[in-house]
Amino acid sequence: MIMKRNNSDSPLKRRSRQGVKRWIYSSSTGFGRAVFLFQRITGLGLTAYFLIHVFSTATIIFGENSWKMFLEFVETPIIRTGELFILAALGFHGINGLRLILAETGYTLDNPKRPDYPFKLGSFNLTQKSIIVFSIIAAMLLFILGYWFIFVWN
Amino acid sequence: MKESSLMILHYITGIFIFVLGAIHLATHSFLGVEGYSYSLQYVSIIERYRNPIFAITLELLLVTLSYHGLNGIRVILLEIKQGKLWDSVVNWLVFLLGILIVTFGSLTVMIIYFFR
Repeated sequence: MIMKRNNSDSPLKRRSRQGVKRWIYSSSTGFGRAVFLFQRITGLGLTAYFLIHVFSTATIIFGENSWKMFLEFVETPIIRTGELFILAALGFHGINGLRLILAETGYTLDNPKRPDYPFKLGSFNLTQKSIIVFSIIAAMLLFILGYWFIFVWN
Repeated sequence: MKESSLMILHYITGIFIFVLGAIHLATHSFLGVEGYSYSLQYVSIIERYRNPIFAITLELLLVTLSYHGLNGIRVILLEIKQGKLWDSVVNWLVFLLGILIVTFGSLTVMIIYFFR
């Protein structure tokens, strides 16, 4: 079936109609976009964890027994491993978030220059890329540290 | 408030969470406790909650994290779809959810700090 395209709509309106799919299309146009998509996904996951965390740890106000029951429910290998992934997402989201704040306020960016071939972006320079790599390393580090604290050292 | 001011607040709370979250993780692993599983025992939690600095840190983390997380969801939802009705519904739902979670979390912190 051939879809009729309404040419009277503005490009912005057409783009916005694509909704969430637009994120994935954008992420194919560059590494920075893909990282930003991942920043959003980890953010959603962390917020979901935060909401569950606040409501579930509130069981402590009902006394020692209810807290013990809660701990028995939580202290399973699956949930403990899930916490490691939460930690990794936290490491990535934190460091990459600091990069986004720095870029937004104008730090770590190149000075404006004439657009010559091969049109390298001053807004996505080596500093920015190194911070992204560091955020991935931070995620791995928190994963390993969390494993050590939760499973080994206890 | 203007959208730009809300976004600046988003960044400021982000920096706060970076520091406060690090303290929160430290108090559950090595700072003043002996290990993760001991830090989750009832006695040790109540003992640490009696420390006003610990309680204030948790309360600040609760407020900043609620704002940061819920504003993040709000921004994503407003980017997915536009419209006057959608905007106001999303804004109000997020605002009410924020009030709910801050009240609930504060109650937990206060009850443990004052009555346990």
